[in-house]
Amino acid sequence: MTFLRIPLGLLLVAAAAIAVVSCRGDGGCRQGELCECSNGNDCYLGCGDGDGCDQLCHNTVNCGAVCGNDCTHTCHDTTSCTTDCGDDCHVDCHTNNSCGAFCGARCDYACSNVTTCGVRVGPASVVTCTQVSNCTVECNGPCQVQCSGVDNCDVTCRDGTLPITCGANVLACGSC
Amino acid sequence: MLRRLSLLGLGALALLAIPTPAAAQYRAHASYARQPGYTVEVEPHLVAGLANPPGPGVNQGGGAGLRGSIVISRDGFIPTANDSLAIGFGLDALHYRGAYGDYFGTCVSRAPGPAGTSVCTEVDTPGGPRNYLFVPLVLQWNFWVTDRWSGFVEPGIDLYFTAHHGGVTPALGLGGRFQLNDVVSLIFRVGWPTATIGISFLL
Repeated sequence: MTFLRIPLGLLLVAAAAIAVVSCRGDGGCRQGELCECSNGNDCYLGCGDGDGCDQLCHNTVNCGAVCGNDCTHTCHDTTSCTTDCGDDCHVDCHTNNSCGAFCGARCDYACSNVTTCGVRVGPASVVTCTQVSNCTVECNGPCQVQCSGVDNCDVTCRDGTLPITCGANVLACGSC
Repeated sequence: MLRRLSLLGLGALALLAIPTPAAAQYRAHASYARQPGYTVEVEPHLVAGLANPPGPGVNQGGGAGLRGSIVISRDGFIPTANDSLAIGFGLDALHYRGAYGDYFGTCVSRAPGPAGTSVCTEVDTPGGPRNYLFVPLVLQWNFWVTDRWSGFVEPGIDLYFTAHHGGVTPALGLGGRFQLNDVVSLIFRVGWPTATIGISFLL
């Protein structure tokens, strides 16, 4: 019965792998196509292809987008808008009550006309807060944060170092 | 409720599967010549979901799985036919392509973010691509037609599991096998929720 063990083993391994993957959620947006959700109470967008989704959410109470790498998320006119994105993402969160985000490396995050903006970004990221009451940014690695018209601009370098000032309204973790 | 009904139905089928003494006597003349002498059938196979699966998934899917069938009677329901009964169970893993277009999802996982924000970290969207795990439990009614060909009908249930969803659904399959030798056969079945093609080992 040795000849049975190899195909059966392979099938069991494949089934187990797929079962593990199935614990992840799925999404309906497609790579390279604008995926828009608006009006109503909640708008939550995933990225069915994993990476490269272009997500737009507006005029809702709650909005959330989850995506892998190289994604774009625009969010406006909501009460609460959040983003969970991998590396190389571009996020524009404006005219909302609050914006929250987890963003990976080389994140380009813009937050404007918002009461509270709370963002955690990866290395080599740039965060811009404009006309924000409370802009709180946590940097995992080198980053730059520009605060314009911000009541409270709070930058934390998660490696324990203090942020440095780089000219007008710009704070940085690492070098300028 | 559906689960309870399905389990009751399967239980009733299993009870029906037990041949009565009268039936056994009635078919005492019947020949088992075409039935291979086996007690367990082990069947690794490829799986296809040809239609929308139960639950939130849509479109077609594909994957792999394993089925085992234990013979419970060499006499089936038809006294004059060369039929037999087995209980089948297994595991099938499939990936369904999804249909896209339905962008609205539900946030199913959150994490605390900076400044008191609560960031959605996982979205479950009906209609998106989705992985399924099926656990079939069926009654396999075999018809041993010739020395090499046999067919079967498989009513039963399928337990299914996918991200944040799960349940039980009725299942029905029609299939056949072509025996390459006393042990190895090619086997296929069509039905819902899945169709399969694979190799059967009669042990």
